[in-house]
Amino acid sequence: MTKSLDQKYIEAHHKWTEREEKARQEKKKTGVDRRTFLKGMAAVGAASAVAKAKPAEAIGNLTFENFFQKHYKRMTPEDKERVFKRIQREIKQEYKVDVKVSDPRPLPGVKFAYALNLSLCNGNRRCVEACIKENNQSRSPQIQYIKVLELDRGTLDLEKSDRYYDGEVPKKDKFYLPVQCNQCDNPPCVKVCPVTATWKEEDGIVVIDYDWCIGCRYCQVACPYEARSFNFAPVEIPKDEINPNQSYLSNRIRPKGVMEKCTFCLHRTREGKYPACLEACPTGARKFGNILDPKSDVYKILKEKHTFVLKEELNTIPQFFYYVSD
Amino acid sequence: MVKKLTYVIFVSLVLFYTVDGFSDVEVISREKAIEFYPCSRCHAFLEKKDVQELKKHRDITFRHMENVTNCFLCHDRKNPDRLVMLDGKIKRYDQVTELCAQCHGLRFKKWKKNMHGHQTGGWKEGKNKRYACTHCHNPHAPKIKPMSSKPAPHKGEHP
Repeated sequence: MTKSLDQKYIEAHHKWTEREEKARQEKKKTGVDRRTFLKGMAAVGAASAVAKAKPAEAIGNLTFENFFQKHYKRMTPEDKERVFKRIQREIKQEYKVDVKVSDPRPLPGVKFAYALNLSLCNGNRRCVEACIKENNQSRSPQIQYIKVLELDRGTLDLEKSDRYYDGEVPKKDKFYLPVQCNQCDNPPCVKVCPVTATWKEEDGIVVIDYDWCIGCRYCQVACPYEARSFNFAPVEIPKDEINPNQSYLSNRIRPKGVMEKCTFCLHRTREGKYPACLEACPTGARKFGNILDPKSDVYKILKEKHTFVLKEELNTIPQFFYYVSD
Repeated sequence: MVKKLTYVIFVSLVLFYTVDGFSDVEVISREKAIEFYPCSRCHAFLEKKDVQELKKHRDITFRHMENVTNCFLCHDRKNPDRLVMLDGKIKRYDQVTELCAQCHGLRFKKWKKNMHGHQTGGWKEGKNKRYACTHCHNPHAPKIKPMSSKPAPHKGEHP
């Protein structure tokens, strides 16, 4: 007996409500949310004025350090060191894994661009799998940066695409269009952020400060490429699959209630490596490089091939180019 | 005058071979695939009759060129661990790209520029290694077969 779609939805909903209920009860036992924490802080302040009371080290998930952390751009190197140590400690507490949080900065004279050959891509989703592992994405509920769309040959109507295809690929009279963050030069997601938690770095990568993000999801609505996703629940990863090489702005394990997106694997690419999706691609459809360097692959492709970008009419100026081989 | 001419020819030759940006890329070795079981382990010691009796390599279905049944178009007859070009030059398995380039010249040109094929290591110069033709294409049936896709995203959860 196969379950109908309605039954599946109902079951999923039940699971969801159960988990939420559990989380609520746990919160009642141990933690305090942001508002009550503020009230508590006022009380502590009053108390400390009278007598030297110890500052509250940790209340629930929200610590003193976490609450008064500066914006990433305003952090001094010492601040950063402290913050990275804090993140490492928290991950160790929660996931029982030793990780290294680093902070590679953009290289001078480098601007990253991506090129993808649509006639080679056969939609096998190896890139998606590699991306999930590299970037410590949540397995349940799923978050995936790369969406591989299956389209009929001769059309480019993204609304009629199928992203849930399965089985042996490539299928007859179909082609496959992987979509991920386009790292636009005129990014609408950055414009709408009310707290400047997301910005464009010098090498062209749009990043998010996960500790500054308030989770309003304006950017998710603004992005025309569905590149951003929201952490509705705490991240669930099997312990042995956590990638210990983490970076503050890219693939560290995200807290609940923040946005996340593809960063061209900046912890890899800023050290001269390729992104994980390119390394995993068995067809050789993906090319990556420094667009300012005339010797790079991307430069040559842009010079010799007819490339196109998605939704050019929106004037987002994407840095992710598609082309077909002749 | 002659000295000058030879100098010019030498310089132009050097430029011709280096300017393409190919010389600095390392190609991943193909000989490692037969490192522990080289072809010569059987073919150097068995006689021709025995080889035919053993009926090995029957699983190889040749779907590359039409009307070709001769293995020795590419494989060397004398030394089984080597390949042979159309003009009789002997090549190692690591140099297989040159053998393919005899017919697929345009592809080879693109491969040299990294516009065809797969490269690993990094986007910075000097860090990368390139896969040879036979890493991805089976030389006996070079068309890439359909492969199974990794599981689809869950329908309810995916944002």
